[in-house]
Amino acid sequence: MSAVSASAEVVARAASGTAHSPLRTMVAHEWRVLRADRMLLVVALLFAALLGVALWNGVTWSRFQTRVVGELAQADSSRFARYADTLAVMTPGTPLADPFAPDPRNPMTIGGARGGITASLTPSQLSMLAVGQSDLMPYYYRVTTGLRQAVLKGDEIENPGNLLTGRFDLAFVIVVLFPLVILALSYNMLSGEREDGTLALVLSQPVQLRSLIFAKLGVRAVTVLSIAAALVLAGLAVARVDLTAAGQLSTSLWWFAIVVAYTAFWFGVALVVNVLVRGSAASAVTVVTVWLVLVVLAPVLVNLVAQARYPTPSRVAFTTNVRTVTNDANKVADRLLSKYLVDHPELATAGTVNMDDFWTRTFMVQDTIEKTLAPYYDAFDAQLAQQQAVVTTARVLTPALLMQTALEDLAGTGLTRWQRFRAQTLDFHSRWQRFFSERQMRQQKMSASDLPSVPRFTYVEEPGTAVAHRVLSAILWLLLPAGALWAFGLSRLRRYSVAG
Amino acid sequence: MLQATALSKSYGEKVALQPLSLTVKGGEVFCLLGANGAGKTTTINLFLDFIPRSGGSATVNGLDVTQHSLETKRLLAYIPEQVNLYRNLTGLENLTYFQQLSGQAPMPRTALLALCDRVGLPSGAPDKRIATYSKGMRQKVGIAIAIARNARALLLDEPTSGLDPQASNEFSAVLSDLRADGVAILMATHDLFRAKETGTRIGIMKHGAMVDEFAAADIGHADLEQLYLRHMRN
Repeated sequence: MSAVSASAEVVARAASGTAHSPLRTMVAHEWRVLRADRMLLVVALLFAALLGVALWNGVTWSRFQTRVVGELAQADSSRFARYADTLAVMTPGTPLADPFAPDPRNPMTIGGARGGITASLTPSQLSMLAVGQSDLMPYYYRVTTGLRQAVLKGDEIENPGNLLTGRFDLAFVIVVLFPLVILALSYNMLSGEREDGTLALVLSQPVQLRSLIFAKLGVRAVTVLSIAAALVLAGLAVARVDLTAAGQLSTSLWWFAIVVAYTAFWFGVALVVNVLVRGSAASAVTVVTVWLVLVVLAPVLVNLVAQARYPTPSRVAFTTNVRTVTNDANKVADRLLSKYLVDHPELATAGTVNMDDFWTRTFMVQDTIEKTLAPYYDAFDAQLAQQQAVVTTARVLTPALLMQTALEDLAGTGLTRWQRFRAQTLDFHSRWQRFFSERQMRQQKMSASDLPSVPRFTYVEEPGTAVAHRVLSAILWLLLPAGALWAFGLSRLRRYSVAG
Repeated sequence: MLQATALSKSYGEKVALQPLSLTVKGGEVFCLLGANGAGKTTTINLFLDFIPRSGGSATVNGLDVTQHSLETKRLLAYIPEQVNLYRNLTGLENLTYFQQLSGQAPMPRTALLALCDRVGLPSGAPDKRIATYSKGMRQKVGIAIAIARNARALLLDEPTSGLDPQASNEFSAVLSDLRADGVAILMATHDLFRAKETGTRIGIMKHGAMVDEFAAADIGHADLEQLYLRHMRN
């Protein structure tokens, strides 16, 4: 018997155990190769560091907002407590101990510019996951009996939601950098092995190219998703988010589901590039170009189109308009009463309204201004709605926008929640204005027993199902192109030539 | 075991392989001689189903290589001119991977080490990274893979080019053993001496066609060289 026969004998005996499936062998091997390569370590550490910084930013911002909202509420409630104390010991007509102190018997002391109340939007528990628009959009408004314009003064209305810039938060890392990590790990899965010469040796074994690519994609997907999941869970733990609280777990699961869908899309891109582009260098250039177009250029383009088709009305023109209208209204204030009483018949009883009262005149003028400006506000809101509609439609073509919007939606920092808050605030402003102006015009003094009936603002959250519905649609819009890319990539894989 | 019937390959207008027929039985070593671009590598790639053929058929143990890609590859082992392995893994890790990839149960470390020893890999080398290996050492791992695979047919594409004479000689010895065990071997080579030494049949290829074919025993070393040069000059 020859020496090789002896070897073959050893082989035959040794191989009597159970064989592993080629896929399992390839997965284990791929993991070993990735680990042996420094690339994974570098990418993983960099990714982890970026995620860490982003989470830290998110937590800091979220805590800051929570603190501000808490302090504002505290200030309001202590002021109302002081009113209550003062009103409790005072009877109508007695002078104040300090003649310069605000007199809470006067409705305008509580409702006017020196009083007022804060309408604020408490950040959701998961807001640390996406700062989103929350650093651009006001998260509290000072509501007084003043003009709507005064309430919204902090509201930069020429910025309909800059979808491009923002803090370095987790959403940014996931939307913008995560695809780069995926592409960096997978742009040369086939070309790399072909150039190293190992692909031919592997495919001379009884294995299919399809299994090989599945093993490669699978190992990479599990690796990047594990890093992301581990860090996000760590972040949630650091921020002491209670996952057992109502809605938190499902929100976190939705969050993870859409990240998986986004991952599937980008691995689909990697697959197609691997199948179509033969050289590693060309592949690298291709994936970077695709990333640049889809993540950087497409959102800019969408915003440009929205702006070009539905330009935001000029803020300057608007302000000039407010001034003109105010001046005109002041000139004819006396004549405004009859008009006003048509709208407020409850005040029409003779002698109720005294036009010589400063506040009464002010309300008349304000009422006129608001009525005159209403069409401008409406036009403005309509224009913004049109812009938003363009963005919403174009979203389905730009995975990055789709992802950004969905992540913000889940974190409660998106445009929808902010618009709801703004609308509810304006609604509250009307209620507040009506409450105090009517009292003032009737010359009704405030008493301790009136304080509980003063309107208070509470933000009414959108039902969780509405958010879930939008996120589900985003997931489907991500999975659709992902599925197309995968189907195309896998079908072209059959034509992939190993040699030559 | 290996059979080509009117097997051909062309890239558009360019003909890489004119209809070729050859048979390699178990226990035979068929050596393909010829200049670069003569169609030797194309023939081997067609048997491996790495490139789609333009005509004819290639079978392994009677099975068509395109229709039964996985089944035929189970019977085949392939050693290219450059055995390229995973640089960051050790020789043993590479061997383990390729051995298991063939669908066999994992072999114990001792058996794999014995195999490395058998193909002449220096002791201690199996646990070193491939990046530190010489070309000859990598070729030896390639042979070890082929043996571990228990292949019934071997496709060799200039496996000894660039090897020193001793390594080349050791390689021939292993081939002779495999032939003795009934393995069918198809080898493309530039080495006339090795072809005469280890080959049972010799084919000379030129411009994608087989121009001559004869038994190695029927010709002397000097005559083979003369014959080869005559074909190349014509």
